[in-house]
Amino acid sequence: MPEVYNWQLGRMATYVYDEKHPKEQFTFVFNTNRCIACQTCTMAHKSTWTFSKGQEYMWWNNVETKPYGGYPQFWDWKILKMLEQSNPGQNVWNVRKTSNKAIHGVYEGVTIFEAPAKIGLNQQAIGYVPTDEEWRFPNFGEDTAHGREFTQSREGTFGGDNGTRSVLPEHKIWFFYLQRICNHCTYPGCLAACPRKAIYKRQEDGIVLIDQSRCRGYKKCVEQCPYKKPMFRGTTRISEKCIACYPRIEGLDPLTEGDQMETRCMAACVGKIRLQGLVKIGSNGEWAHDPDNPQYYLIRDRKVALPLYPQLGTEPNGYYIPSRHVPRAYSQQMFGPGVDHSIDQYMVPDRDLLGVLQLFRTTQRIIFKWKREPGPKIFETNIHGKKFEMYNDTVIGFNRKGKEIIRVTVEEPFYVRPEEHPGAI
Amino acid sequence: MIQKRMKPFGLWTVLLALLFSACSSNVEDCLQDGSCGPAIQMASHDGSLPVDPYDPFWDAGPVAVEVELGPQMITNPKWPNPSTKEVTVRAVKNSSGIAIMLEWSDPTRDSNFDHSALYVDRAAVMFPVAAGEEAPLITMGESGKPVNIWQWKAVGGERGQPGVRDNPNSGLTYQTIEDLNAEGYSTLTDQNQQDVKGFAVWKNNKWRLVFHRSLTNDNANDVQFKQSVLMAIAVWNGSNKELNGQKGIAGWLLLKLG
Repeated sequence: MPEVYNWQLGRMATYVYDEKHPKEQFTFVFNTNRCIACQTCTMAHKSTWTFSKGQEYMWWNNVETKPYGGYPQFWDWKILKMLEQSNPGQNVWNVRKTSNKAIHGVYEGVTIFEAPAKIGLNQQAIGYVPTDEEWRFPNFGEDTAHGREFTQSREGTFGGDNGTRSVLPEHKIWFFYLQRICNHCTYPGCLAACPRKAIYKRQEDGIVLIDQSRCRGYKKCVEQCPYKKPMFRGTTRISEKCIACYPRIEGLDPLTEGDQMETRCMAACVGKIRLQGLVKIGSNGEWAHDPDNPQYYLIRDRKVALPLYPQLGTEPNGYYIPSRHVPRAYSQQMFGPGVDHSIDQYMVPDRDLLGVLQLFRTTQRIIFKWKREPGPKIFETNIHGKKFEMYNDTVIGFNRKGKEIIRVTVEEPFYVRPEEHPGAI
Repeated sequence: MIQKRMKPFGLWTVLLALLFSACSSNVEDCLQDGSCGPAIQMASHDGSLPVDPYDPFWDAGPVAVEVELGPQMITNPKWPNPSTKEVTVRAVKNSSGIAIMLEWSDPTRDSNFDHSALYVDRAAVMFPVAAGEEAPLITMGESGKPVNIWQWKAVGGERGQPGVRDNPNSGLTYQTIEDLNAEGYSTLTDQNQQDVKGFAVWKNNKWRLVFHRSLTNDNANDVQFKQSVLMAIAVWNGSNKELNGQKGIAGWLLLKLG
C-alpha cells in the first residue's frame, strides 16, 4: 500500500491511495475549555440536515461528556482497544524526535491503516459497526464525573478502577465536553474503506462527501471511520455523513452576498468555543505558511489547537484546545503529545493569542486573515508563577478578499442603558 | 494461458489460434478446456414461465444442478468462509422468456435493514453482456468487458428501486430485484431500464428465488439469450453479516440453452 506523509504523526504512514491534497482544507478549532454543552450546535445541525424519517438517530454534530460519554457509545474506547490489541504496548510517541516535519514528535505505533497487516485482517482499516443500542444515546453519561470521591462512593459502577485513577491537586473529580463533527480527514478511513469509491474529498476545500447516487449501503464507511461519523439510513438503505454545510462554505447563502460562511453548528455556538476556516495547501501538499490565518496560527504556528486522536492516522482536520482540568495523561491519549505545550500557552496567553481567541464565534463569515491593533494595558496578574499582562487590543478579521468583517476588543465594551429608557433593549 | 501451452509446437500455434478464433462464438467449448462448469441444462416449457418459486413445474421439469459456492479471496474485504456453501440451480425457457431458480439453505430469513447493525439476505447471477465472446474475468467483469448482474435482496424500496410486493402469506412485504452492469470491482451501476423481474420465498429453512426476463430485448447493456451463456452466482447470508465482497461465489457456469 502507498505511503503518505502525515504531519500530525511526524512520519510517512500507510494509506490505501497515493498522497493527494486539495487546494484548501476545511479546518476548525474547538476550545473545550469554553463549552457548556448547551447542544445548540447539535440542534443547529439537526434542524438543518437530519430532520427526516430514517435520520432520527443521526447527529452529525454531537457533544459528549468525557470520559464516559460517547456517540455512538464507547466509540473511542473501542477503536483504541482494537489499535492496542493489534500492536500491544508499542503504540507510543517519540517526543525527542521533533523537527519541522514532526512538530509534535514521531508516532512510532501503528495507525488504523497499518494495524490490519499486523493481525492479518483482510480490510483497509480496523474498525467495527456500532449496534443500534450504541447509537441511541447521544450523550450517555452526561455530566458524569470521574475522580477519587466519586469512585469511592460508587465503587464498581462508574470508574471502579481500584486506585489507578487520576487525581488532580485541586479538582478531585473531572469531566469535560467533547464537541464532534466529521473531521474531513486528509486520509479518511471512510474513503479508504468504500468498495465502490463512492466517497470523495473535494479538490476545492477538502470536504469529504458520500456520493448518494453511488452509495449502495455496504456500511464499510460506518465500519472503518474511526470517529463513527458516516451513518447508515434505514429508509434509503444508504449512508450519509456531515457535509460541512458546503453550500455555506461556498458562499451560496444569500445572507452574506457571496462571502463564505461557517457551518451551521459553528455559527450557532453559544459558548463561543468554535472558529472554522480554510487553510491553504501548498504545491508540496503541506500547509502553506500563513500565520495571518487564524486557523494556521492556532494549529501550526502556536500549536495551541491539537488533532483528535492523531494516532488513528487519518490526519483529522478538527483541532481542539485541550481542557485545563483534565489529567494530562488522558488528554495526551486524546490529543497527542502536544497537550502540555498547548495548555501552557493557553493558561498565560500573550497578546496575539489572546487576540485571536476573541475572534471565536463573532461572525458567521469565514475569517481568512486576522490583525491586532495595540491598545492600553488594563490588567496584570500572576498565573502559576508566570506574569500575565492584559492589553485592550483590537482584533480585526478579514474575508477572503481582504475586506474587514469583524472588529472586537479584548475587553468587552460596557453599555449603560439610559435612565429615560430603562426597559429598552 | 493458451499461448503458453502452444509455445513448443510452432506451426500448431497458428493452427490452434485459427481453430480457437473460429470457435470463439461457441461458448460451450469452455466445458472442454475447463474454464467453466458445471453445465446447467435449460428445460423447455410450452406454457407461461413458472415465476412462482413453488410452482410444481420446478420440482418436476428441469434438471437440478448443485453448485458449490467458494470464498471471495480476490479483493478486500476478502471472505474466506462464507456461510452458504451450496446452491441448487434450475433453469427453464419458453418461446419468449427465461426463468432461473436458485435454491439454498438458510435457517434465518434476514429481511430487516433498518439500522446499521443489520444485514439482509441477497443473491445474484452474473452474465457477460457479450455472450458469444471471450469471457470477462470473474471480478465482476473488467474494463471493456461488461457484465450484466441481476441482484435480489430480501428487502425493498431502496431509493425507489423496483420493489416487489410479496404474496401476503409469505410474510415479506417487499423485495428488490435490480438489473445492473459492472466493468470490474467498484463499478456496479443500476441500469436506467430495469428488465428483470423476480421473487423469492423463504420456507422450510430455505430460500427459493426465481429471476425471469425475456430471452432477448433491445437493451444493449443486457445479456441476450440467443445461445448458451456463461453465468456466475453469488449468495450473501445476512445473519453472517455478509455484504459486498463478503459472499459465497461460483463461476463461470454454463447455462445451456439448447
